[in-house]
Amino acid sequence: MRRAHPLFAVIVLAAMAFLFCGPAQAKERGVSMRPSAYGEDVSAGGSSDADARRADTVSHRRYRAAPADHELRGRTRAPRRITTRRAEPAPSLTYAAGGAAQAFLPGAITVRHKGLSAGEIPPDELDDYAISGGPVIADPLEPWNRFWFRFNDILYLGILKPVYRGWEYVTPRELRSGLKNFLHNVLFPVRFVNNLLQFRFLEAGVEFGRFMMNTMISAGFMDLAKDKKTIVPVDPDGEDFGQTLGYWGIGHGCYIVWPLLGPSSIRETVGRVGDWAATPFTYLQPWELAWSVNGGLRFNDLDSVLPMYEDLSAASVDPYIAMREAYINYRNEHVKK
Amino acid sequence: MKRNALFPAFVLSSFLGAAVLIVSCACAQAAPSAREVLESEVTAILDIIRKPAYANPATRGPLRADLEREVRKGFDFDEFSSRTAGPRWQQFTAEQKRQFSNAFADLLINTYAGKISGYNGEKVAYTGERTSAKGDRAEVLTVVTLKDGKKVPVAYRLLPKDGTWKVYDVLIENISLVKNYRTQFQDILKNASPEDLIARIRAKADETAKK
Repeated sequence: MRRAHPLFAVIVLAAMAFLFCGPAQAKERGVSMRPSAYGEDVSAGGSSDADARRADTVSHRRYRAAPADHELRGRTRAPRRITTRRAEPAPSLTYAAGGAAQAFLPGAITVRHKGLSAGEIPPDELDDYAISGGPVIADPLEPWNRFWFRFNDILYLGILKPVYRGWEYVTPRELRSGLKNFLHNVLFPVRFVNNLLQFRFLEAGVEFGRFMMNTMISAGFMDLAKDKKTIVPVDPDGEDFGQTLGYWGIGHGCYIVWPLLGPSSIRETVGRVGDWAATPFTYLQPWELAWSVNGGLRFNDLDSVLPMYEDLSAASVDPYIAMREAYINYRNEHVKK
Repeated sequence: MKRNALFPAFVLSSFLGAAVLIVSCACAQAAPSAREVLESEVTAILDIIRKPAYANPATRGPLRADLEREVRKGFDFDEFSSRTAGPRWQQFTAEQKRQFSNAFADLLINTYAGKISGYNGEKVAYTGERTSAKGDRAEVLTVVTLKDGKKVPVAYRLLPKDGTWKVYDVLIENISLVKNYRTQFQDILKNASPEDLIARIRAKADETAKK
């Protein structure tokens, strides 16, 4: 009898992993990809309890209009396609008004709008910012952070910017973009590992394919795979360990400004250490050479960061606060992507 | 017999219904959507910036005034100001409100006008629009493609005012401009008076104008 090829088992396992993780991933993405929720739930925004109750009523009205979902409610032998099972009393005024006749039978199924629980306001309600205010992160180290912020400001704009101008003057654009692609390609393990840690197997596959293609054709100096259509959209900035920690539900902790590296938080600092462990330069010998090359390539990459920093600091009345808010919001957006 | 008696009522009601339908259609046509308003504003602003005379600092003067008028038509700086100042806005005097609004408008126009003229190869694609159920807020989604091919999502939030739609917030990369300034201004107002804040905004606006 023929024995099954060992690869067969691997393929079956991978397929199973894909099947089980696929829906979980889709659910996570649901947070950012549900345009239909906005059109209808937006009006419910508001801070008071009354508004929250109205939100609930509004969303239930919509379910009444959608018979396919609504029919599930109140049947004892309802099909178990939709899984949320609730023992609590009727969550909306619409149903509570009917009295005992409309009370749910045991085992009835309540259908809720994607991810929103009773009384919850949709995450972004086009509001007037009456509720949300104040800083996005705790900053107990502010005086210390402000010191390093000023230090970095002088370093970035007073030293690095003129030196980079000189670098731009002596090198052709093609060389700079080639080196930029090379660094991006070398950092492939960071993106790959973190896609896996976030159960984004398709994205990890895309990163792997791009790495192979770029490495084999041009040793990473050209980004030939950039324009190729991928099976899933992949964040061009890639995943890193700070985002993985955020994906796992870990908060930022407090804000920290590091000399040279700039804005960070406790979580992002841990993230950087994780990325360092996945960076190939960490394992190359002699280490002096490896880290000089790494530093040089990072310097070459400054043109994507310096103008952004300069703009933000020129446009803001208190650049320290502006940078803090922008950095934390930017990182939070990346976790969602 | 009974059917005949009801017939005029039926005819009348259907006529009424048709009339209501026509009137509502006419209204819908009269009021352009937030997206249409924004699109024409942004096109008008970009047309000014793309004029060859604008690129030359020597001949920019009059165009700069046109630009400012056009921006003020589409963007409501009083809304920007009250939102960024937060609850303290109520304690500002009318004169302080006016000064604040003007200084903040200058700062934003100076910063972003300088910015856009830097990216003269950019393209704007209008990718979507969403409105609140009450119809009193709208968000128009766009994607700006920069010269180097990088795509930046820019969303505009609008509210109905003076018979048209006015922008009251801009979100770049999903980060709200108003929220960012709001945190800065709240922090400054913790230890400083409205006059100090206005003076700081004015100083920054003048500094960006010189660049």
